[in-house]
Amino acid sequence: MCVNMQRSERPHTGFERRRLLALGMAMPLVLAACRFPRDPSDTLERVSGGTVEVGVLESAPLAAWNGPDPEGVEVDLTADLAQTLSARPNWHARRDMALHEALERGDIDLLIGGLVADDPWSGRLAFTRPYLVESLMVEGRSGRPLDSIDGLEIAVGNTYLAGLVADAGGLPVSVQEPAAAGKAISIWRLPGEEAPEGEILLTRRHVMAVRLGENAWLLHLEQYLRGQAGRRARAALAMVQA
Amino acid sequence: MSMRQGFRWPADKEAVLHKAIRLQWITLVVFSAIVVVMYFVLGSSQTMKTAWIEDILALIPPIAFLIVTRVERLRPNRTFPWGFLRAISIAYVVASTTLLCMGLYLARDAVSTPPTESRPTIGAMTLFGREVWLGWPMLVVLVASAIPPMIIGRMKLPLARAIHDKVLYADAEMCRAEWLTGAAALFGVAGVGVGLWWADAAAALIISVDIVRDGTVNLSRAVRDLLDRHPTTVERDRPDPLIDRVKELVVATPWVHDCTVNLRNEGRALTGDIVVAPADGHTVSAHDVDGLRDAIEAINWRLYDIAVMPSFSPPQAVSGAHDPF
Repeated sequence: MCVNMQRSERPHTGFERRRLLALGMAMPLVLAACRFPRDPSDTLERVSGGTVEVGVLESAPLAAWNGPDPEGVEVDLTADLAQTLSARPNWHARRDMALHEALERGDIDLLIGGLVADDPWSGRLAFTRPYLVESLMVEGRSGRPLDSIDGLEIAVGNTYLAGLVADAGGLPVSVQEPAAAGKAISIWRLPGEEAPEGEILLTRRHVMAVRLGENAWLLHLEQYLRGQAGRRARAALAMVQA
Repeated sequence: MSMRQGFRWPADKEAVLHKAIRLQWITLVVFSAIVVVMYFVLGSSQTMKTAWIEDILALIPPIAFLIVTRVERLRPNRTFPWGFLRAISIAYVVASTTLLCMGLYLARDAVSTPPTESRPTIGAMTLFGREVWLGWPMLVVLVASAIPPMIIGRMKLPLARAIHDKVLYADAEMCRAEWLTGAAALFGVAGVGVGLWWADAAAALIISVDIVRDGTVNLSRAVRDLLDRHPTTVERDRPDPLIDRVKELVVATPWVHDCTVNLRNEGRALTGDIVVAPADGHTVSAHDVDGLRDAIEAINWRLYDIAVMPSFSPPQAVSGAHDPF
């Protein structure tokens, strides 16, 4: 009756375990010695002292194609970033999705032009964290943002803004309408700063995009944007607004 | 059917139980803290996600233990005349099935993303006003989160042995195995750091396979227990020495000629039937039977509700040791 039915359990391989553990623990120390992180496709190394291929989407005042070269706040930032790497930006303009796909394949290094954090491409491209936050608001005739636009006639320049105004209970009218109670404006701030007072029609958190997995390049870009770049962009945009 | 006496805990084992309960609460607090801290450095890394879910899963055995140690101590009643000792085995099945399913899900998750889309992106994080690579805090959190479970696991093992608790033992072993998760996750994140985009998915796969292994090993143990297999020690590689001690005691009893000892685990308790053939010319009295039962139950606190049955023809011992699991 008292038969031993038990088979022996898996043997313990203490030596192998310890060696594996030591390997895992030592790895970060070894890595600290080299440059870390690195890009799987070496973007940062390649663009340094070379050319940055930049896709530019149309999104004034951040980026706009009014001539052979793009202009706008994000274009200026990118040119400045390239300069810090002794690199020359090479601008690309194509239909929107074509630029997204080009970045996904790695044909271009950077995509700019009004990209926002809740972009549907977020699983296929690597986005920076927001470096600039835009609040779409309505400025009254007094020059101050309105607390409510319910029932008021608001001057808008395009159908998209008209939709936002209508959603908030306002009556969108043409920008030529002299009797309008207010006009749509954008208020810009850095992430972490307090939202402006008044009714916000829409909040856009602006980002830029690089190819998935290019972590060193992404980190470099983020460090640049979160440094003085965000402040400079906000100052430039305040000028545009005025 | 008569009602059973409830299973009684001796004072010293009771003290160990309370120590184990306290340790499980500490485990819950520590793991919850790890889960919260890890959440903030998850990024979009599959490795981090898998290691994080494993730490959430590690909350299940302590929770199961805390519930079950209450349930199993309920007294037998008319609806449940055999008491609630088996609650442990049920909790064991449920907990290990959860592990197995989660492990399979995570393994699928790790291999199903096509390589072109799976390049893990680990960006920046603002730490003390500076932009640092998120991989650094990840590595720090991974190392820090692997150490407390290893210590706690080591502390749980002797307690699990003392109160013969298989759930606690499995839990302790899983905690001690945290180093594997830690090492694999370090490899994954550090690999991404040096530009090996596949390291993330590979590490996630290693961790999920480890979870599957935990689930499978424990599920098969739990199922065997519920099938009343031959009792073993909590470590599972030796037959329970109590069986031999019971046999020796029965055989040494002057009025016993032959015996069959048939014991099974019921939760942490060891119960069963002892069929004894009396020596020639001895008339077995109720005193004999009660005396032998009391003597057996006095051997060890786990021996519980032993039935002593006199018979002129005790059943033959079964042969073979086949284990389909």
